[in-house]
Amino acid sequence: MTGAFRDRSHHRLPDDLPAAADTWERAGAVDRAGVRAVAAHGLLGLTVPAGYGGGGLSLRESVEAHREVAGHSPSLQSLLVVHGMVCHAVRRWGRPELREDLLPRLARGELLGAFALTEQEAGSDLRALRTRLREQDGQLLVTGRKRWVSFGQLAHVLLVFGVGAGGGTSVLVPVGAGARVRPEQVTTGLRASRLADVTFHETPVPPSAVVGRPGFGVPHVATDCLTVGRLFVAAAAVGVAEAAIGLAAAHAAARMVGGEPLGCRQLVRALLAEASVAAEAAWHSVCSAADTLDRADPAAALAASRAKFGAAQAASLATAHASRVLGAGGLTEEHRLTRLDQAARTYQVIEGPTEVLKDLIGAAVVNQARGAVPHADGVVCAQEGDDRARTA
Amino acid sequence: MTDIQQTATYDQVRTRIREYVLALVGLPDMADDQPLITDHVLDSIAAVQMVAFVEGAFGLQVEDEDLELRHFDTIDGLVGLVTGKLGLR
Repeated sequence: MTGAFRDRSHHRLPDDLPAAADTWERAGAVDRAGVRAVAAHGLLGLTVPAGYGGGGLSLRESVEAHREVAGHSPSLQSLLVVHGMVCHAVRRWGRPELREDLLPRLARGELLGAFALTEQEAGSDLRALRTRLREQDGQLLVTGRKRWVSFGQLAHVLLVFGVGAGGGTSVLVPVGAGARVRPEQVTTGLRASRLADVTFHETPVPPSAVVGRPGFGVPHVATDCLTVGRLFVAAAAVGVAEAAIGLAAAHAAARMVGGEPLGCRQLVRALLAEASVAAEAAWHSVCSAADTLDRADPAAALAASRAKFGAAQAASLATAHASRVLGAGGLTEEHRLTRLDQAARTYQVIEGPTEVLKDLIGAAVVNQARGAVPHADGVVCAQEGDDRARTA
Repeated sequence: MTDIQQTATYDQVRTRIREYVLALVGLPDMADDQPLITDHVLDSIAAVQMVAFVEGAFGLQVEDEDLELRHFDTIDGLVGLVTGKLGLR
């Protein structure tokens, strides 16, 4: 075993993770016992500073865990993503009393956090959010509905983004009285990730639960969290690509065709070559992006977008190629490859769809040619009849 | 304490911030009071980069209470934030 994550034995994966992952996928649900097991292995507090009881890992170290967990259970890895984003938000932008109170419990996994941004009519466009946060008698009252909240069925606290008197705001809302949590329909990819449809009606939270300053602070918190989320999803996509390659390679080595292993066929080797080089390149891109984030390099947001785009492409390529190597056996609903294939498709959508990321990345390439600092932003284009600049 | 904290002057801070923002925007020149975010010259991802730049270039920590639009919407605002935190005014 190599790599920074695997060298830290107290963060090793639960031994029964592969078997448990099969059970969760069949049931369409990661259960509480599974969550307790990963919490006991320190996986829910990987990047939380040691002073708060977390693993104190850098992002560069933690992506190893994301990659490895996703290879077994893409659904469980999505818990590490959303919980990790909440930990990141509380640590970086939460008030001191909130940090002291919640971070140790989040790190130990006693409290599960989920990220509640998306609404029926609003993705990551904060201006379109309809959730309202109203001040009354020294409290904030949360009213609104959040959709497709990963692990919303199990979470104890949700980081809810909405609009208050001072503009966009995010608050940590305990799930309990005042929040109605309903399961979403099970999706094909990450099918065990316990998606929830959550409705709040004047749910009260104390002012100390606000994360990020109302107004400008909140798009900042959302973007900052999503950048970290993008990195974690990119690492997961590499894990999925590698797992698919592993299945294909094992099959190619063992399956005999015309008296020789399938892997002696040049076209089969070509599939494995393409997939493995794509996965390796994607992993280097993930590690490099993690380093830029750890250094707080201004180019980190762009690097995370580039890594996520590349890794999602690699996962799609690897699962498609593996499917051809494995043949009909790999197409059954319960086959591990089917799970990986559906996860790869999901990675093209979540934390920035591939087309959106290509637009951002391509714009940065053009900006750089014009002598600008590369940034994950649209090309500044003058619009006809409008002297204001526009961002794509 | 970084070198720049010990030696930077108000004018040096303004020059460094101007250079970075102009490069970020990709324009040769721009007024120091030109709104960047409210006029959609830059989006929130670029704003995240500006926070990282300010922290890295001047060795300071941007706190939750600093995250106000007035600090990040113009070159003047950024200069005010940084020089205030460095005690240069």
